[in-house]
Amino acid sequence: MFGKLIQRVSEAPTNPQAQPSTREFDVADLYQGPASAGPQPDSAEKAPLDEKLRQAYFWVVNRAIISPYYDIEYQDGPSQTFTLGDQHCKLTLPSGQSYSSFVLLPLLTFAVRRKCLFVGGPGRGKTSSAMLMGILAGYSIKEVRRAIQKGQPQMTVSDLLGNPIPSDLVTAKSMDQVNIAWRKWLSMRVKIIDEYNRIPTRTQSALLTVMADNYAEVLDQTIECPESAWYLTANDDAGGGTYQVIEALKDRIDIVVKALHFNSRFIGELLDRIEQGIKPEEVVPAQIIFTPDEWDEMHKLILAVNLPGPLLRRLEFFVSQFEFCEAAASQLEYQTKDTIKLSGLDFTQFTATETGKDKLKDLGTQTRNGLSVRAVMTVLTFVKAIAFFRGSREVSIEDVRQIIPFVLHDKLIQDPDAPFFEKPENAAFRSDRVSWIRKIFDLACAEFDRLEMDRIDPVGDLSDQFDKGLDGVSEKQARAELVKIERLLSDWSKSRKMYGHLYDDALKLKYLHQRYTNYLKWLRWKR
Amino acid sequence: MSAAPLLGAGPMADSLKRNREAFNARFAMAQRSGARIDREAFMTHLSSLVDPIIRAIACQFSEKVDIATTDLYELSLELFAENVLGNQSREAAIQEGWRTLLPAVPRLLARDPRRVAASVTNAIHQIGQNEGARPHEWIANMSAIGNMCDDLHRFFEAGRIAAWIAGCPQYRPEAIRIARLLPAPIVASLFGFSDQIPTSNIHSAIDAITANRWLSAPEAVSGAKPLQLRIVRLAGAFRGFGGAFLRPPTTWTSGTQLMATDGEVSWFLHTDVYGCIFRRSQEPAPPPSRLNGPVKLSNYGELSWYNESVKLPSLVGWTSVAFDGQTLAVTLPSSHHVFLVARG
Repeated sequence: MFGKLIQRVSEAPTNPQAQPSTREFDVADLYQGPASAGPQPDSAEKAPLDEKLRQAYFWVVNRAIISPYYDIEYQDGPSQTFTLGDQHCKLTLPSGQSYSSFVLLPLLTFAVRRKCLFVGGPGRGKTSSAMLMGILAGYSIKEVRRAIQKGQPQMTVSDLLGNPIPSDLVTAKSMDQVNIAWRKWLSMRVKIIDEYNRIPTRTQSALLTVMADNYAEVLDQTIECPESAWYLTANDDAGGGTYQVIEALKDRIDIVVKALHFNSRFIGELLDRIEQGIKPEEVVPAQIIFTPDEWDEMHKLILAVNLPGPLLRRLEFFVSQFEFCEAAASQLEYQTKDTIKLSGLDFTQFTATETGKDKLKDLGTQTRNGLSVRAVMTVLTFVKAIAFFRGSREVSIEDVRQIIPFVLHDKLIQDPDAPFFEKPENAAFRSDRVSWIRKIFDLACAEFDRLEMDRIDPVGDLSDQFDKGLDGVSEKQARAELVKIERLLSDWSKSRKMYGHLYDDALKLKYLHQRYTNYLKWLRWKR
Repeated sequence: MSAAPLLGAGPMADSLKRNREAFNARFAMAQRSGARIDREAFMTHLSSLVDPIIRAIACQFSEKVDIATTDLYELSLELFAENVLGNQSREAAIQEGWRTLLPAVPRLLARDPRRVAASVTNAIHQIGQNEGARPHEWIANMSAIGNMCDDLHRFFEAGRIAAWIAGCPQYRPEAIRIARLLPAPIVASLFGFSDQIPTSNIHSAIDAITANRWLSAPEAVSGAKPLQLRIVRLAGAFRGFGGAFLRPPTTWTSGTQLMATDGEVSWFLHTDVYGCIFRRSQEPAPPPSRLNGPVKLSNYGELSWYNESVKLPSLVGWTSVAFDGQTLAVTLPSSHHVFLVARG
């Protein structure tokens, strides 16, 4: 019944998943009740960090940012679905607690200290969202405002990083005597780069060093930056800024969040805010501000979230779909889309080759690239983060399904000429990358189930056996494993067409074969 | 409705002027969140309750006026929105706490205005939830000792003793523990002792209270009251009259804890000379059993208590009895009370 109203934070538990047990009597309850006493540094009883993160989410979504979208949907049971429009678009009323990606994903970025890009037209709250994240990190509104780096065509490296002290430039006898007045934002734990695609290319390179390696360099002087959450904004993510964003910089962005349009039914709320002079960023409740220690602790807790083996296997299966391109090379190892890219040749020349495979079924045909290690690591981090946010200590398949589209949004480059998109029901996926990536994840899962890979996974079995270690493995056992590998490859070579997952499996088998072969050689030498 | 009294010139008025837009925005935001806060009532609250608190703070800690004004303003909005303060409030004692206790502790408020005001509010609310408890007594006791407390911790600890004395026996063990640790003047004030009483006498009184929960602190220190076996309290009542029981209850002990049930819900029964409360329990009632020990009660109401015996006619035909070492609980087939017998 009771809770905070002004600066009101949602009452815990914000995501009740289990019936709470009967509360034991506690004398401390004397001072618990209608009024929130605010953060108490000496109090042993604090809200768990996942609860605090959810309270931050609900405060932002209910009080600060008008984002009435629940595009990250969770179901707790049967949910109602309605079909609307000529395109037969489905509107689902989620039965579980669902979230707005525009608020949740920046918050998860904050929790795991990664890099988030807001894309969308001007005036959609991109910068405001980023500023709120700065305030959640404990900075004042003034500090956050001053620390925003606003991309503009005349921005120099000095504007971005700092200037040499003028007097040092005159008196210094060597470069190391020139002190640099570093810009304050470099030492902050939340970094905001507004309109990063308006930064000149040379300055982008300096920014890349900070983003990639966490240090800045001016005139041979360097400054180490703390672990930070980064928020970049762009009015157009398709390179429509003043400058083309360098590829390496784009690749450093972990997650892309779309600022959705403003729902006209909420203009009344805007009017209220104008009339009453409400600025949510100025009244962020103290309970949802994270101290540096809490931030570190939360990061550790997120990394400790368990990703179950069967789910990891499913994720491996999904990731394996995209890199393989049979026509790219004659040697198996180089049969990748990366080989084509490095060759500089036209991608369509290779994809037009007829392989006899069902191009609608082969998910690899829908992309022009595979997934980088960085992209996969980001997926693993964010799925743990969303599970933590939901109060779970184990990642679920729905967590993966919901997060993957946003992490791979700019990582997985679509081939719009692929036959898959020719089908009328798939045409919209050419522009709607979030739904497209979710769709291919669903298709990959369906294929995984069809192949019964949860049950039948000979490569997984061989891999598990190998992971037990080679210590004490006899020559006979090693030979038996080699025979298993060879038989499996022999079976595959007889009948099956090559798909992405088989490609990775074949290479894994080759790896295992080589390890056992080397081990056998060593055993013989030892005798 | 009559217009709210004007806020006179002073530190709070100045502070409100300095941050006028921010305060207005906070009020607007609270309204926007769905709370129906009566503007006039809120202004009255600010001028009649918050202003004296801020004035008291400003006398000693003028540099804390802005932070205190902001904290108390925000907390007030929060409590108005929940109808804890304001016209719709059913908790008059909370207003009393703001009126008398908070202005009496400016030094503590200056340290952490929000925490002190919120904790005081919560404590009054919690005490008020216990039937028969006396939040006004808590406020008076705390107002008396507020300036003796050097820090918030001590103030809050003293609050637990005060809550026990004000009719919350669930705090008794903790309060007794704290009473042995707090400075003698604070304990003496809370227990209603003379401020000249030697510390050793205070400790003797605490020992006596610990040994007999039906002895109040002043009785313990004076030693004047002759103790006799008697019905010291009737606990509980019919639910229709605001009590805990739907049907005549039965009682038992769980360890040394008195319990009671009406067949639907089980309750912990916390009771002593200062008050009595029932707290829900998940523990099912065991089958009825007779007393085996130094205390026995016959079906005819003859009570044998160690070497003493007494006739208690009102307990004839009892349905269940339980003894926790200091108190005998007895239930009857025709009553929704639990009869508590002790030497008191």
